Amino acid sequence: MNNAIIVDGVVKKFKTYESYSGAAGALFGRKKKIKTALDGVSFKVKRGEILAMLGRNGSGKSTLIKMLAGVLRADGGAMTVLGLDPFKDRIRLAQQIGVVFGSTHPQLFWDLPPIDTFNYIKGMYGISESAFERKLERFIDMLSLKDVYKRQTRQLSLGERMKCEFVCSNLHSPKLVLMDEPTVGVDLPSRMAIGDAVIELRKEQKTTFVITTHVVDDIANVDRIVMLDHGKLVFDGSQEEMRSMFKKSVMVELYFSDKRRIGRYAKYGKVVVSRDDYVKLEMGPEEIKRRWFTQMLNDDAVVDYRINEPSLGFMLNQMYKKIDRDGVKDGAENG
Amino acid sequence: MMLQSIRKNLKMFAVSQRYTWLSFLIYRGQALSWAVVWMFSTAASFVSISVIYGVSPGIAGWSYYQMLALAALSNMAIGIVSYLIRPWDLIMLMRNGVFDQFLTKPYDPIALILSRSGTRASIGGVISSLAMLAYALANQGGISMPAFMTAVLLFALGTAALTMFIVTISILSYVLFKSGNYIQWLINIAGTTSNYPLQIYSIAGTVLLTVGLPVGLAAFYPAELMFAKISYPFTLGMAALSIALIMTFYRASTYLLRFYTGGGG
Amino acid sequence: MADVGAYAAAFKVNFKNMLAYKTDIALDLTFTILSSLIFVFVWAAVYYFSGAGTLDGFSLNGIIAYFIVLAGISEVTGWPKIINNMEEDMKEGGIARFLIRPMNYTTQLLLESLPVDIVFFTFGSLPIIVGVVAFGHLSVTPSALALFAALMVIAYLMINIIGFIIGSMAVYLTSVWGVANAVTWLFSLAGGGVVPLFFLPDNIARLLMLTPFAFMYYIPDTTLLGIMPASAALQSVMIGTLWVIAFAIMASLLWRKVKRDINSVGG
Repeated sequence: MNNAIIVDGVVKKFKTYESYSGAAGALFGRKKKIKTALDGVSFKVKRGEILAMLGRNGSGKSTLIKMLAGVLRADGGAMTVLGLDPFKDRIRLAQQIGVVFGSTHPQLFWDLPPIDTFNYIKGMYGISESAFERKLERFIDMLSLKDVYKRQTRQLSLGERMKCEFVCSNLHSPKLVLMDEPTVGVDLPSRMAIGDAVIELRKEQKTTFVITTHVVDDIANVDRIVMLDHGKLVFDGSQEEMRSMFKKSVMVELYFSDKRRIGRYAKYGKVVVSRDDYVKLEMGPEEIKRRWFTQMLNDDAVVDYRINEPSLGFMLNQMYKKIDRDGVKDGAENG
Repeated sequence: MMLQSIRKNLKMFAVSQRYTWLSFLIYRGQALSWAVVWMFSTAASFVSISVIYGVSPGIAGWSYYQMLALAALSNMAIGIVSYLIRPWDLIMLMRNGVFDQFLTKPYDPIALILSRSGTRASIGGVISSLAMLAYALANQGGISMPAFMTAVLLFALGTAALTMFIVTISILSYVLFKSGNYIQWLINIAGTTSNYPLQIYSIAGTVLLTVGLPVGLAAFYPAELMFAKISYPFTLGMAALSIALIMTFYRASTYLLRFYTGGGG
Repeated sequence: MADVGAYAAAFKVNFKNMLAYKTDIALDLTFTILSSLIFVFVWAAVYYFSGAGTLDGFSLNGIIAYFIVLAGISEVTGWPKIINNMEEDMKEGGIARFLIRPMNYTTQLLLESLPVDIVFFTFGSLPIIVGVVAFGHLSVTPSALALFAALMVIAYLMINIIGFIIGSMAVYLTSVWGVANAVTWLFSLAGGGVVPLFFLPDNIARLLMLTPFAFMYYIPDTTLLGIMPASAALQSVMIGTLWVIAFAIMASLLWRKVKRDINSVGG
């Protein structure tokens, strides 16, 4: 079987309550509402693939991660994770997967040093002493945890804790690791260390990773991106495919010695940023071949310039804007 | 100046009642179950005392109805204290830094604590105790109006002293241990012990429950006054003691707030 | 699948974790005992002022022994420790950290609360009961001791299964703390935790003896003290076992439904 995950038309609904306002309202109680968290989502993840799951708050990412882990039951559609039904075969599946729930539901025992939690996981998953020693040493080295893993968890920084959470989820060499916003609020070095460890583990053990995130840097090395919005899949494809949706534009940054000249060139593109002697323009790629562009480059008032493709963060923001403009349609835009 | 400040803080207290009640009533099932829990403590007193008086002539010369009245006053005092302050909630507010907001408001922080950190559910205990008190007094009879009115005043002062004591040890516990589970236990034990006449706990127990954990001031002495078991000069002494404790604990708690370290960091 | 090593690892880490809260636990333990001992003062006063040697056929020593043993029993049966983290698990999604493990949630919960119960039993119940048996000038028979042990196991199982049922309802209720407190209060009031049932009218006491309430306090207490005859205690063991089975069936049916309805929060 080549697919680690098959999600087919999955639906999840939640009951929510809306309160009436005022004192009398409080006495009369609440109005029940059904919220559709996931609305017919379908996608596949190949074994050994690194998939990023993106979407705004409340888009359904965490719900989907919990469903993939067997924590929540689907109200419709079908789901297979490592060949198992995650909800029905939860215990069998749990033996083969690792899950990181960000800082919201930590696995580490707050009042004990991480090494105690690691030992607990060793017993829980039946890891042999020699394999445990070997893996632990490897992770300590990989994530620079030498001075960390024997200190009380409550005394560790968020970055240190998240690196240890990552170890907790990988000690038993799972075939699949689900990571729900593992880097929120985490400092840059820790984030990069976790990112490198993901790449390393995929290379060494063919581990499949599904990562939900809002941090643009986290998706730099992923193989594929799926994007959820309002419980629907709105994009499924590679970074390149996402770029191609916006490749109509390039970003041109210009620095002027005489800011009065800005107006002369600003009209050729859409001003994204403008301050004093600097302007950032978004324009079609054909614009840079035109005569005005060559003239501008020879203009003494233009002291420096840069031409870039839009950044990943910019593209994502454009993507959200597009969704808001066009509304959410059924199925993915791509793939 | 001082009167103006009291009026301002009382107004704030009244306004915040509306919102604390609103948020309590939003989950009616939960509100009801907690109110029932509070009523159980009144029921427990009623059952215990009824059984004791069913098999014996009673304790220390107190009649059945006098004892019910004493238990009612005790439970009512605990209900009122809990309406104003729940130690664990206050300590949590301080631990997670929400208390920062209290210190940014133009009101006395102690008044803010009393308006926000208690439980509305204890009203169940207050109402059931009031019912038990009314039942006991109606059956007991022979209580003079001046004695009753003075007892109400003494009860109010005693309950205020007990409240300020709980506020002070809650803040002190935060300062010293950042924890305070045991204070709720103290309140529970104070509630049960003060259901009965203090003399059964010996002289040491009586002094402790009058000055140390001043629950006696709220329940025992007002009940004694109502049933003409103590003189008016003694009553005056107890009132003066209550006022002294209120002022001391208020000063102490205000002082201890200096050691609040704020949230986060 | 979880094996003995997994259970041992979970128990060990939970035990270590509990030790971080040793001051809180020591205070809880002490105050639970103190709460029951207040009644020793009260009943001593009742006997003192009545001037009688016995009331309703019971001596002061008998009543004092009843409340001291009660202090020991309530360490185990006063509160279902299994419920302590359940609401947070159900409401704030904390259950997810258990469900990602290759072990039942219920087993993991038990392994989490068992260390606390062991400490409460070892440092609360055991010294009190050993003290009463050794120095209480009571004639505790080996059969009474054996029946008491069986009844304590029944009470432990019953209170924790009931705790599990209430905790599971967190999925449907805003908060289960009110319900849990109301139920434990009711158990104490109707089960001999506030007044011994032998002081109640006969028909009421007999009826209460059949309910789960009396199993938490009165039945084990009076069995140890020999107030309840061995034959009646044996009958209680059987009735108690039936209650445990009934509650276990209820819990498992409810859990089957709850598992499907968990609304673990998150975006």
